Amino acid sequence: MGKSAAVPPSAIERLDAWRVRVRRYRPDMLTEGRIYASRDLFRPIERDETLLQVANVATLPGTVGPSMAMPDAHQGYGFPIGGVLATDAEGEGVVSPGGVGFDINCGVRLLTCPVPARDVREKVDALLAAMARTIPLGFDTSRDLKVAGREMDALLRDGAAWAVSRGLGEPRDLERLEDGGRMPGADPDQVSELARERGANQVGTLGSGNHFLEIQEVDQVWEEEAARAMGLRKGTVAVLLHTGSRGLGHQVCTDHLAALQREASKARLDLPDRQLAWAPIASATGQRYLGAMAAAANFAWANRQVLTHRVRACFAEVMGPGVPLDLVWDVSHNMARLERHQVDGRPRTLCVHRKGATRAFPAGHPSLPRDLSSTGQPVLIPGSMGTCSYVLVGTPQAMEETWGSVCHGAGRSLSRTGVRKTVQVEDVLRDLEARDIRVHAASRKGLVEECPEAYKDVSMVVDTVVGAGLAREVARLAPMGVIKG
Amino acid sequence: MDRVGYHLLEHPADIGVRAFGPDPSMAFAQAVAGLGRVLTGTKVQVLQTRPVEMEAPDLETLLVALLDQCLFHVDAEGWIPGHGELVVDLAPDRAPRLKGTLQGEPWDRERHTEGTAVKAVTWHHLSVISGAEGTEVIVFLDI
Repeated sequence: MGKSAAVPPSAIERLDAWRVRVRRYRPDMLTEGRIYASRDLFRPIERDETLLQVANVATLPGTVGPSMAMPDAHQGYGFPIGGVLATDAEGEGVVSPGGVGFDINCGVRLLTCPVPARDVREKVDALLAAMARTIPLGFDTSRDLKVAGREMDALLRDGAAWAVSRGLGEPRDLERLEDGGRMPGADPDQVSELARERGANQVGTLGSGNHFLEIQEVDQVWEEEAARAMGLRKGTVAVLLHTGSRGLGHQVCTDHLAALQREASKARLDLPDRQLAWAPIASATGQRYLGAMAAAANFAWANRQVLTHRVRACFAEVMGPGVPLDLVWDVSHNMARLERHQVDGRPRTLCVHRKGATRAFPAGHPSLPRDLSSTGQPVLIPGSMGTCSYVLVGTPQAMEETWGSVCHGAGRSLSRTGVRKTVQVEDVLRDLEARDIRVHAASRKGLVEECPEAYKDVSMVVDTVVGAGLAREVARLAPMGVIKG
Repeated sequence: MDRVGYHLLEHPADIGVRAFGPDPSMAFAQAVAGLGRVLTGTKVQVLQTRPVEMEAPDLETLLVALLDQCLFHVDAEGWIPGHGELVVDLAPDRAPRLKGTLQGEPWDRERHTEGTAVKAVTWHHLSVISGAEGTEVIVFLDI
């Protein structure tokens, strides 16, 4: 069976309403594949190269458990977007930058504002205007904040804490960040000059692609107690922002991928996809990548922290001082992390790759802050532009089945060029207006490429992870205003 | 064969460039033009140049390095390359080399409204194929 040939139908077996198995149909697969998808969501997954990529990922040495894909999965590079794979960090396990992606620690942050949504709705235009004026979008750079030299070293080492120590955030924000917004093991020396230069003017910028900032209303609450612990009350306001490590993170991935390629070719490795180049976690190359990846992750946390600061300034300007914007949580959905998990009844350190997948730790997990310990980690699932977003909470079953991982969003169903053939920018604007959603976009083309028609239905994606028992629904957020990067 | 040019390719989430020319030098320059089109949504003007010189173990790696340098100019200085005058040196017994200039213009908020920022150059379905008909390259960009 060729490594680039499509997965044969005989290797695909539906296990139940939510799970599909991909058998080890190729000799180089070290484990089987498992896709979480309803029948409806499996159709687009079958159409592109997602299943082949799940099979390719199953070839990585030291794999523990299946090569998984979440219901929002689609074809990516090396790993599918929506891919999850754990490797044995105490043994022969490897780390692959393809399982993290170029946008290291791309993620989502949710803020909550205890003000009735109706009070904000009339000021959404003013808020969007203030944000569009002060937050760099698309190709724009941070004009008032350039970070270089030792200051960049401090940022790469300390992440969100760097921003807070410079007055760009509140100390209690750090309690609501994965790893406190400061990933252990960050090694600024492994971040090249090129990467630093690409990121120097990008701290506190949104970027483009699918990155956005939304002002929302909490329009549905399913679990009152959990929502209260997270600070979410029906009818109040939330702000969701989605961005990552910008050019610095992209360059870190590019640099280390090139180094891994050189080693792969020296070792004459027969990779099924060059984007899947890997290094043993314990090797010098693997450690250099992990140190650089952690530094880039810290850049992303600092970026989202400075953006938070800028959003707060806009709210203060428009709503008046004293309107708090409290941090609910901040998830990364592009990351490889060393985590303790139960493997065959014994605790073991695994390197969990989540490429377009969100960590979803249940109540009682030791990494949670005390006030969320009995609730579980908030899992932030953004919808596509102009559709609802969801706040979920992880379950013990997710810990057992997926190393505490779920989906990360709606997932694309139409290509960028494909959607431009069928959707006009005027239609997108008319539709948003009809639903009383205000919008400001860096580019009209981006508005079309990111329109809801280009994506799967996020509620179907959420139904699948809830149906499979990996998460529970806590609250739903409806957009009032969108800033599109 | 005297075909010179590029096409943009569909990908479920991102975008690809298929570029071709009578030799690797011309095909690589067309790949730069394709990237410039993605970044701006229009034809990039030749207002300034930037030098480029690199070496890589194979032609695919050389192409990734070339386009990666283009993205560096975009992020670090807001400068968009859209053309190249490049010489790819394929001497036997030595790694392929590339030397020449990138040509382009500063990013223009008014004119480049239909552009899309590119995060990175991927190795996904990356290929450089040379034959009697000329050289064709395929490269996918992470948006």
